[in-house]
Amino acid sequence: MIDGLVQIFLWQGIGELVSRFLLPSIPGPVIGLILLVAFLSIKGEVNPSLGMVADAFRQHLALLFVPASVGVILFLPELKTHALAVSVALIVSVILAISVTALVLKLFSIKEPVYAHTKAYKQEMKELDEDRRLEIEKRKQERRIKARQKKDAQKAMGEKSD
Amino acid sequence: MTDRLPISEIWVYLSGDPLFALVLTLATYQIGYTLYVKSNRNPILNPAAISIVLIAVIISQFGFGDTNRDAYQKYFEGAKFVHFLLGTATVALAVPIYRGFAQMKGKIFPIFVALIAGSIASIASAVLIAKYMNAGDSIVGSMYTKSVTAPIAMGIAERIQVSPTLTAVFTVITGILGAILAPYILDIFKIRPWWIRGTAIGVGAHGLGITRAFSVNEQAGIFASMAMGLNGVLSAIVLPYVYVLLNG
Repeated sequence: MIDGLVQIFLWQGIGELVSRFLLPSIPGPVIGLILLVAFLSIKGEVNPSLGMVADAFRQHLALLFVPASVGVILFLPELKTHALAVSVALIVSVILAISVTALVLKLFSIKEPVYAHTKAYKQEMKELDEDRRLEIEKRKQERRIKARQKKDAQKAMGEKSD
Repeated sequence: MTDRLPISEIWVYLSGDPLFALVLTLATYQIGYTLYVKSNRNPILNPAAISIVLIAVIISQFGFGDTNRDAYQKYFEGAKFVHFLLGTATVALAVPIYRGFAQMKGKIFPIFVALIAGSIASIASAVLIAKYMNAGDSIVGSMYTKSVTAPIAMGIAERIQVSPTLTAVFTVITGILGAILAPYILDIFKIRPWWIRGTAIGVGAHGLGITRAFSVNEQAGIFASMAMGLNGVLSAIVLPYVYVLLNG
């Protein structure tokens, strides 16, 4: 578990350095995250210790922003005056976020040709085609075998009747 | 035992110590989490929301400081150790993103388009409604960042100088709303595939939605974590420019 934590702190540190000196508009931890994804993609696996730490953080992510959120007591008067605006804005925005994301994905999964030019899609289609071709071939083969058996049977009958 | 400490002095001593703020944060969260699990993971009993309310009541009512500002400063002095881990948790999101990538074959393009469309819809609607209803600059400003998972959102908030506090609060409320509403919204539109449901929940309901998604279906959970992280990264890159463009 400790080496997973060390690994994450290390990438966080690298991210902070890059953010300070190269990309000041992006928060350091986000750069650390991007670099870690790149590192994992090259490595091709997540070691169990890192996976354990990451799962623990993901599960209780909410705990970590409690201290900042308690600051809401400083904004109470402001929030009270604008309670209606805040609630409408938040509710509408949540509904739109979920439905737009889901509907766009649904659209794509019905009309696949929209992203048919991507390499991954072509590969997938090729594999599907290959599967279908093999299946058709197999069925033809079966039919041929059946036909031959029928013929043989007829022949045998014919010989018998002779 | 002639010089016994009066109980109030013990309280003063304890409330000045960072340990007290830490215990308060973790204990209230533990109470919230226990209630959440006991209630069969009902999203209304969000552990973070329960913890925030309990702490707010305790520090503003029980002599933590003369004003709310004093009380909060004193509390944060200790709780900043928990706060610090936000950055670390952000980096840790790399793992679910990476795991999601492995399952995304052939879906990368639609997922990117959907994420971008979803977060534009979410940010634009929140900002426009808040602005139209004259909600005040600090509230409108935090509507830009609230559609992203809290740890990243607060990083962005600091960059574009809107209130990280309001951002965090709005994000928590968004998470609660999203986790409650998501199943109904997705059923209305007859969306069946788990990966689509997961991705939409990750964009709309953040961390709380993900825990729910994982409890229903493994694939939904993986896609939800991936969508939440990726949405955060894209927003962190693009939002500062959009904000400057719109607000000069």
